Amino acid sequence: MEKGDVVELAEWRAGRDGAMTTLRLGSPLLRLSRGEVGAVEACVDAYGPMVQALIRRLRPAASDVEDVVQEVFVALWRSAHRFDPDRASDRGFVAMITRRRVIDRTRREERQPSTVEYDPGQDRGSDEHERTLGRLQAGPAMDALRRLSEERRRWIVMAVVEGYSHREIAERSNTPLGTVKSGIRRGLAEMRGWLEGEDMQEVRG
Amino acid sequence: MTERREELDALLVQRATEGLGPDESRRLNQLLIEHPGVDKEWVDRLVGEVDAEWAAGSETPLSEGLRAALVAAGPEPDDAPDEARPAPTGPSIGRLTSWAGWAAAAAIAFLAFGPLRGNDDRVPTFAEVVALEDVVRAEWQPGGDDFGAEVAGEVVWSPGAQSGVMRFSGLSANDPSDAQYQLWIFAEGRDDRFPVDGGVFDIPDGLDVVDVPIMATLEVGAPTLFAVTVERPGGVVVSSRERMATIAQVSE
Repeated sequence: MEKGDVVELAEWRAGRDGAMTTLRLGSPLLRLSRGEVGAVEACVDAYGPMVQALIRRLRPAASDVEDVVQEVFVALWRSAHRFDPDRASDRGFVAMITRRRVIDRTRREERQPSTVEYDPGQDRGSDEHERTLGRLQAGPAMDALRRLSEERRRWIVMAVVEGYSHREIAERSNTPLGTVKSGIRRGLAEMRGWLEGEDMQEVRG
Repeated sequence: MTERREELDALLVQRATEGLGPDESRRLNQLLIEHPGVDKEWVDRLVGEVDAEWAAGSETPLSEGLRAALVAAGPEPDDAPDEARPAPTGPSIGRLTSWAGWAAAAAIAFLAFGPLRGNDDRVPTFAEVVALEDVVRAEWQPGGDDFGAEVAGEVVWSPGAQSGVMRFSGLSANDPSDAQYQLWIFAEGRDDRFPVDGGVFDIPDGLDVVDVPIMATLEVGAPTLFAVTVERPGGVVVSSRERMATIAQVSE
């Protein structure tokens, strides 16, 4: 993680009370939304490598990575004005747009956005998922992920990071699909609560 | 948490992780209309944060050619949306990715329209509605139908003036002889089964940004959600809501 990322993530945490407003001035995305000179280059340099990495992860077999990167940035130019630093980090916002574009494109191609060749019955086991988790860089989202129960954490890593469908996760873990779906949903709701400081009573109930 | 709210959250999770099919998209839109106060992007944002943290350990520089192409396709400086800038009244075609379109928005459907204020019976511009003190703003989101897959922009509405303008970019052009867009306005105190008909309109081909005045047939009051459906030519009295192009939810 680079120094700038720490600032951005800190902004995300502290942003709701506006305490770090001045630190947000350097965000390339905000600079873009203000139409500043050099903001386009700053956005490409700041987010381009991340977008490219995400596309490679979500579409490992695809040969059109650069096309999708361009598609994502067209969407970013259109959507930058929607970025709200009180609700997300700038990298998280760009990652969100990237994932949407990849899913849309993959859906159009009538393929599942799985990043792993599906091989029923050959679950790589908890250790493998924990190693995947270990690849995540230190940050609020990873902190929240680590606080989850082992089962929910494993399912969310499989669904979000490793790209398994909910059905694949259910088959691999010998768990009913409904249980997996509700576990992922409640796990994400728990993470949201920790990140936003909300009362989790309703979610747990 | 109710069963339907859980179903809504389950669909938001599925949308963010593996995508939705057409039936699931329609169901999600239906549930969002039933739950107008729900933050419909909370899962997308959270998954985005996980993605961003994951990517930090896997990034490699862009190729020179790709970087140059991205920069070349970016918006020009100073072309960012400027609400203080008066919107022109004629159509304009700009670059696909240029934000100049926001300022050079093409206004269509300049037909008879309710008064902006008092006896001023001309069509209000986007900037004029934005300038009103009681303006309500909401951003367009894809509604599940392919026509709205790339939609962006926002709708502005003044409860006091009972006037508003929809600003779209990325909404697919339609063939009026085949299908037309129709706006529905949901409002506080109004039965969600019977939203206000906001009028039928078309999106011409070749325009980056289109402004469409809202032509509500009834008093709207305080809107909670704007929904645009794809309907048969001429529109319908009651929409089946099977083809939801885009929705804009008003924040509480």
